[in-house]
Amino acid sequence: MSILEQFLPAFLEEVVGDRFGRYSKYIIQDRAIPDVRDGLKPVQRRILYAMYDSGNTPDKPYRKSAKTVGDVMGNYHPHGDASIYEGMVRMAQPWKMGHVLIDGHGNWGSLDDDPAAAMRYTEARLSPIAMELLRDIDKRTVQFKDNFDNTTKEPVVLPSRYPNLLVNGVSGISSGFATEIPPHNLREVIDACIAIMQNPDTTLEELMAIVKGPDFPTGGLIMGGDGIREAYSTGKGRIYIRAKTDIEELRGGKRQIVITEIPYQVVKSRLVTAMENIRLEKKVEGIAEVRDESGREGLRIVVELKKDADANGILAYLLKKPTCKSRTISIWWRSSTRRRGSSA
Amino acid sequence: MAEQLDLFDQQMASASSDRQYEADDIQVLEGLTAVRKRPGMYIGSTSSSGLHHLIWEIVDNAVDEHLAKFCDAIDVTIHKDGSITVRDNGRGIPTGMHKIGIPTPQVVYTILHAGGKFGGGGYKKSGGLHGVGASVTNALSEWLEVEIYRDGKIHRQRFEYWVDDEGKEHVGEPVTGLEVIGNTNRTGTKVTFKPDPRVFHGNINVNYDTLAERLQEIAFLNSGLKVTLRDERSGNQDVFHYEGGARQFVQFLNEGKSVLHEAIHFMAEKDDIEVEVALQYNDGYTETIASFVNSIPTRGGGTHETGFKTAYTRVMNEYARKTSLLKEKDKNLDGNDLREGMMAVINVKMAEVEFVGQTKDQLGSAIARSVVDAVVSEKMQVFLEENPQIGQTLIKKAIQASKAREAARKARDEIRSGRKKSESSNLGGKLTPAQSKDSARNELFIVEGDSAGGSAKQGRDSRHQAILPLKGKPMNPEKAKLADILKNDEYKAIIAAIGAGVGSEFEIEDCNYGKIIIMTDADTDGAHIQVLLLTFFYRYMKPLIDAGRIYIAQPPLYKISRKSGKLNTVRYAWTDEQLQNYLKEFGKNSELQRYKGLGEMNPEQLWETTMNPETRTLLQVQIEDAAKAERRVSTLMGDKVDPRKKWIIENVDFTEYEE
Repeated sequence: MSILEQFLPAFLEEVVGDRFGRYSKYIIQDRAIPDVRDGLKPVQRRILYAMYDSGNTPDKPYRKSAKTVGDVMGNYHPHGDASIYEGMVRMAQPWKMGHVLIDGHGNWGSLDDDPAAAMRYTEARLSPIAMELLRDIDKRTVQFKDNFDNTTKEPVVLPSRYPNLLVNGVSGISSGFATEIPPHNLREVIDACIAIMQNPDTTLEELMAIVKGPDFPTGGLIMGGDGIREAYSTGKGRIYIRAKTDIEELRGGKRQIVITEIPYQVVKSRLVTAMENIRLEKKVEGIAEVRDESGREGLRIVVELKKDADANGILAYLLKKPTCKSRTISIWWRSSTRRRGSSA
Repeated sequence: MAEQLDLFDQQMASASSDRQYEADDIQVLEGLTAVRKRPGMYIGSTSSSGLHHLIWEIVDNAVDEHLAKFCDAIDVTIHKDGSITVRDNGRGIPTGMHKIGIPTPQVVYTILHAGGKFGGGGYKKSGGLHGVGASVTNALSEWLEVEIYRDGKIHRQRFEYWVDDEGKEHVGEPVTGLEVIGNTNRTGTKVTFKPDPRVFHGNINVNYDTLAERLQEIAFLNSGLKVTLRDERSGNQDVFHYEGGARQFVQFLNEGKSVLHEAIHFMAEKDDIEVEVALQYNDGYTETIASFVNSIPTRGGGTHETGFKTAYTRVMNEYARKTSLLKEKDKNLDGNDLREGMMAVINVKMAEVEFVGQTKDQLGSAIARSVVDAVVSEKMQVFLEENPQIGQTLIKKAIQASKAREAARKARDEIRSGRKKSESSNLGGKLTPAQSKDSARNELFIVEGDSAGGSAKQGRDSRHQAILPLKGKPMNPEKAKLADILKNDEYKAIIAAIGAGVGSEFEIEDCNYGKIIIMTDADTDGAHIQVLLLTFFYRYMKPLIDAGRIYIAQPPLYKISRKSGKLNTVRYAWTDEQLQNYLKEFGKNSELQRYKGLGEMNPEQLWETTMNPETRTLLQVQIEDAAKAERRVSTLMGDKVDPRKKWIIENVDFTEYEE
């Protein structure tokens, strides 16, 4: 090692800029932010395409998830298996996606944020609506590009028979950019598309008569329409959702608060714990017990009150607590998101 | 009639002075000729900074008029031909005959070290002293013209540089007398001059931003002074006019940072020295003190800064004891800890300024120290009494800082003593050390991921190469506190392996390696890890970068192989250009492998292409432009999103497809 080595100079200010630029471009374009045309992040698109390509369609039996993850990793997505399976699980959870793209069989997690079973246990196939995203893909409708090792091709985007970005929503955080688009009602969105196709000059007012606002798979109530309007007109707005509640009378003059729908992306078990803590810490007087009664019949959380407790007051208090009841969704969609006539 | 007579008198006077004082004139010319011969001695250099110096000499005079409270507006105009006009609305240079027998303006512009600032009468406080006066500007200009508005009249005189038929240089000689060219009811001085390209290597291109930055400082430091900068070359214009003084300045410096409290601001006069101080903490970890004397920046600090620091440390410690935030047995807080995250502006206005240091950017006047000390002591005590909340926040912050520093010191000591006592330091078996103890020749490879660590360990030259694999991505050091970094396993391993401490405790002599080489996959995550590690080294082990000991390994992107019979030829390509060349060379039978990760390479391949000192090409990390490096790192890695987004939009091309 006695030779005098030659080094190329690399200036910190430039190296940092160059590397960060490459990384952020990748993160923004290829990892965290969805394509406006099919509403999918690359990992999701690759999963769907891999399943389609291997014939894992709704008309055939379920197939082991591990097999799909392997296909995706080996053919299109040279990253960790965990991130691929996570992407797959999300697409199969009906409380995250109003219209699941993957029809899962087995334990695919729960509203309580329980994890899905390991990929060697679960099975899956494409859902019927996912076929609409993929329909006509072999009729040269979309551009294909080389995969990472030039051994096969993958689609740049899916043909997307319906605007999946709006229908299923998406959230993603990358460097400098972030997006959070809530899900919408499929029927409303398609009606809106038709309206725009018939009259490209349809105004926001007219569109909002068709699409009244986001439509969350978990239900809940949206508080106020200003946030919706602001989001639709500027691409940025805040929407507050709160749980759907009711006050039930019990025998002996006792009353209880019953929650039947919770805000989108709120983890039910955490919500229950948060309310239980309010009781334990006596932040508000009058709560006797907090119980999760959900089961096969659906979601039901009960806040049992003490006798003579002020039910409306407690309800108002609970709804105020950001940790348990309301949830902010800031929509960050780039102007191109509201492009006209996203293929319908 | 009276007007004409006056004019006549003036002309007579100047004409006669020319005759009468010929001998003295020669002396004057020698002075300016000397400036011309050795401009560096007077304005530092003949580069761009020297060029701007000419403007500062004139602007400083105008600011002095403001300090004397006669001027509230200064206009600076850059003309298309490169000449510059500086105009103030002060009293105007006296137009009477100087006692040496020539008009006063001519004295000011042709005699070195002339001016109203020495006698103590005309100006009490002045900054113009750090240079040698307006005569230097004249000496280094093609021409200079001064118009003086005073006593109801406009006076004008012009100076030029020329070489006569005998080849003799005439430097900044008056080509007119001091003429009266009109009446006015204004007062002030307007100086226009054109820097001589022959002095400045043909480049008399004044930088707008440089002027704007300095003029803004001047406006901040002189409340109520309206400074206008115009650029006729580009049509740019800026008006700087602030009433908030140093407070507004410090808020400006903290712009884009999260501040912890409202700015603290006070001013006082003592022994004829005016002291103004503003300070405000942000949630960062660096300390910035911008100090000035009579609006002249003192980059090297000096007595006023020392006075401020001593007083501040003393007052804060007294306060901490009084409020029992520091217990009896606790040690006093260190000044460095107290000033972590501080942004401060100190401006002192005083007479008879003395500058010291090689570049004359340090204040040397001893009296400034005691005066600033006294003022800061008094005012800070009052402030802390009145604002206990801010006081406690600042003390607690300093205690945190001191704990972090203490922790860093301990960590380093532990690592050192640990190394001496036994080899089972807190590296947890992560590091595969080199056999040799020759730290200058040893190399540390910081490798992304365990999968690549394995092949690096097998492929290395075990005599001199040590391997430290990282698990996943290290945390972003720009957004973390030193204390958190010291808890982080990845950084702990790096700090321990290098063995020279961290942060302010870092001592490069203790570094165990001559080269520290970052070896990551050639993909985007690898790029990110490089940025994270470089940020870490930049923030916490900067001496390593300064010494050129941080390197980036360059693994190849492609392998091209060809089988012809039993012969297997292999080439590696680092760029697409190389790849195309090899593909052409090998023709159709070639086989291409694209490397996405280091783990795809066999140990021998890794050695051959990336680690072998005889065949590899390393990138040596250097810093070219310190300010730019700082900005880049804080923009891209810091916690403010908007500047980063702006940078991404401006610098990243999203239209191009690339995997």
